[in-house]
Amino acid sequence: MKEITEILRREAARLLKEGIEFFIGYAAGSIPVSARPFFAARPEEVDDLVFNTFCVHNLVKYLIRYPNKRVAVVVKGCDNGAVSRLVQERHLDRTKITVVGVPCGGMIDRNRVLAELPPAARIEAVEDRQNALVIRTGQGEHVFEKKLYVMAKCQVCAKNNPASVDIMLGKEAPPVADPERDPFKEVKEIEALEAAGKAAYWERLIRRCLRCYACRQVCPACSCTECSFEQAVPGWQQGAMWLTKAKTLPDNFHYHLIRAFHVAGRCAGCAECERVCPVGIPLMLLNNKLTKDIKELFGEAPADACGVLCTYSPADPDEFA
Amino acid sequence: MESKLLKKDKLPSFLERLMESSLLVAPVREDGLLIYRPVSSVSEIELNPGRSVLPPKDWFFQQTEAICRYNTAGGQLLLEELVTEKNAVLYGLHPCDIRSLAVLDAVFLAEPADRYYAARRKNTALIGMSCTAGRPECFCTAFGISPVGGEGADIHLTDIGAAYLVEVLTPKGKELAAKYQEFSEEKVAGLEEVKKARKEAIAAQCSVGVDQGVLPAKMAGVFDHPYWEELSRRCLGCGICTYVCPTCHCFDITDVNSGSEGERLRCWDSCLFRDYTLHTSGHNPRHELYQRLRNRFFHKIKYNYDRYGIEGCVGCGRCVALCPVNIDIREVIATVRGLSE
Amino acid sequence: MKTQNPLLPKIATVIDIIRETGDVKTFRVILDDPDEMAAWKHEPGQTAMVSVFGVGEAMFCLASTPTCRDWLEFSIRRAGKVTSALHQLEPGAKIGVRGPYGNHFPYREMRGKDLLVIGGGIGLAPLRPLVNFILAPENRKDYGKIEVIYGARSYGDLCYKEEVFRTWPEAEGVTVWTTIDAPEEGWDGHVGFVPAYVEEVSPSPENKFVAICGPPIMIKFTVKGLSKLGFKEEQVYTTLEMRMKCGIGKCGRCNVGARFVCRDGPVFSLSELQELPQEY
Repeated sequence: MKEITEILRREAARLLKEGIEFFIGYAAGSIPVSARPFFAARPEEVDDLVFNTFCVHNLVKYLIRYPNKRVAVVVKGCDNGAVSRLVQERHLDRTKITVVGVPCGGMIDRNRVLAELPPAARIEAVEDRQNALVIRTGQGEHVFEKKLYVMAKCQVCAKNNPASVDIMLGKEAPPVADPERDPFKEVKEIEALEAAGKAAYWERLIRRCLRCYACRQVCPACSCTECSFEQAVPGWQQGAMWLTKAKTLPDNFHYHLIRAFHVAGRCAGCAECERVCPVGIPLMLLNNKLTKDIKELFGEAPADACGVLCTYSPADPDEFA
Repeated sequence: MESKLLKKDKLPSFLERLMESSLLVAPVREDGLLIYRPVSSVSEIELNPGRSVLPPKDWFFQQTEAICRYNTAGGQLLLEELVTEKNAVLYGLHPCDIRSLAVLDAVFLAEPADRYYAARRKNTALIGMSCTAGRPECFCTAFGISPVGGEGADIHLTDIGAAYLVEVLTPKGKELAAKYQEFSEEKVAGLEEVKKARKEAIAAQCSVGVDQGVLPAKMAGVFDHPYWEELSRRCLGCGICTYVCPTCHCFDITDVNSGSEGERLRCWDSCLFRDYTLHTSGHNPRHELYQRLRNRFFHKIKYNYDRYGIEGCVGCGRCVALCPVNIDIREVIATVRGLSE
Repeated sequence: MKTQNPLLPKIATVIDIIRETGDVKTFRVILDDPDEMAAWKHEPGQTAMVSVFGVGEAMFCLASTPTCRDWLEFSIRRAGKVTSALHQLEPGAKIGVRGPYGNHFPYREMRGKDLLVIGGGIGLAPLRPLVNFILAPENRKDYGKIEVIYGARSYGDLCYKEEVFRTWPEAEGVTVWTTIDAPEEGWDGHVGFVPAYVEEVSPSPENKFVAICGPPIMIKFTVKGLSKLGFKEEQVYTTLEMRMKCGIGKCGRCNVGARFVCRDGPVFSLSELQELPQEY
């Protein structure tokens, strides 16, 4: 990690001197076991840049805010898919972006780690020892083997070395994924439930949704300038809105299911939606279910296509006509 | 003020006794998340709660609440007011959350008082619970709040080992306390010292020292500083901080129809949402995210103080813990202090 | 006695609808409960929330003078959800009204002084009750001259034509100047924007209060002109508009700095506005 950080800062300084507006990367967080997105705007600021196992954020979405500026962005493998998606959807000018790839050793699942520390433990030091995370509290040292404590998405990650980047920070990282794990295991478990079981499962979770819209805000596939759920349509049905601010079970379902369909076929798999949810709704189950269905129905999209749902093939399954 | 001891193993019985005549709203852990909600059995309760995800403001100022029902059939208009008047006991509030009710009172009970909030506030007794430790994000002491102080609660419990020190602080608390006479014991000497030591230990863990009442004046000078735009760069513009904040009180009002009948609802809203101040004409006084983010911090630290004489933040740390991009209000406070010196 | 509920509207009936312009209608409204109607008291510049149940609620300035005890008037431009629904109503329709809210023009401080009223388009709506209040027989002697400078995009966009062209010019001590933006067949009055017309009319700042309301750009340029004519910021008042929901300073939405426009406004002097963050 140390070497990556050195190369990262060097490259960032060089790019900033060449005149890019921002180098979007990560800096240390203010709470233990965390990092934060960081926008270096001047070469002097690059010393705050880091890359470590807490750098969970997908920074690609920020690019939408600067469509006409030259920016650089640090991407992990899971973030990278979002870049080409946004370019294909004409939100971004690829020539203005410098994509800086990092070889990733997996991201720690912060909530799981914190949950296993003794209650009210004060974290005094955190050390990233390549294969393990060591946390020292007032009650001693706690060792977390990374393989067991990386995020669920990392355990099935097939792309921890991002491809098609402009700069790669360091050598390729060894695979992180557990080859035995089925990426759709949890999806299949829900599929196997009876209708009543599915309803009970989802109602319990969706009822908790606060409609904070963090999942939408963080998602790079949610790139509409004005979201459907923000639209008030004056004059049409007396200005009916698709959704009010009321938090009710039907409205919550409406929001999540429609958003899942808007994202379907375009999901980069970064799982940020699930990470940011303050009430722990496993949103990737919805996205993965749709990804699985799309794969089964339509196969993979051609590499240069806008997305599998934007392409047509006479061989597409068609039960209707 | 009356003080007694309540042995820890007697607490469930006391709460059960309360449930005989009141709805009990208590901290419950669901799927790992601590929230406050009505319980039907004491066994559901997490008796020594940490910090909940959602603040207890939800009991008094519900996220979604029908304020009236209307019927417009036949060209007429019938309105039915919908106010909840139910006796309840809210158990397990930490001092930061108890203080948050004072902040919300200043808003909702100011003339003209909000009927919905006022009814619940009047009919709900509060049992506070001192903290036993500070979390990494806590900084209540910055606002003069004591982690073992029960001011604002009707009864306040402090864990002192095998028992709780029970302080009965109000006439309503006295009524509640009458229900546990057989469970409680006279307190022994020395408990005040235990409480004081506990407070100091926790206070030492809370990182920020803020001059209460001085910060609001310092904010005025930094309104136009580029710091706010820099801070907003990583902000997602979601509503997490506003929804988990125990003092945030912004709301929307909306009608939901079913034919010629319907309900007028009041729902939480967030000042960070793009459409929060969007006029019908399309004009938006805070059209940039940095303006909305800046407005939120000014509201918390300055405007609330200017208007009501009480800071809008209670240092509970929820926003710090849950912000997906680690925007930390303690850093904002420290930066404002630094910029204005 | 029932506890007051500030969020619960009073039921009212629309008794008449007057079309002012292509997109502005004045709604004449009475509260159904005669005691509530008799008890209603508002001051010029204040506002009220009008509900169309099933659609929503919005804040409008009261366009009727407080001295009129028979009804309340709201002049409403069709712009969005609630206003479109209002524009589809017919006399006899039931709506909700709650208020009055906010502060008012400093009509007490204006006693013994002259008043200059500058309006653009529907911006005349909050100014109209102030003028009519002063013109009421019981008040007229307490005030000096009234000058009205009023303009709109076209003749069709001028509101309150009856008052602007007849009642006010015919009243004692009132002069009215009107202008439209572009020449029009049948109009032989002044042509030009309000800010320029104000400079042309060149009112004196002596012993005078100014109340100005209209599109933001009109206000901006008119204020510049007034400053050139020697008017001070403390003597010029305007009204702010903000998106509002509760109207009683609790939903947080209408704040400009630490002030809520619903409670501390909508009337502000220019000097007060200088103290606020320029976010409105």
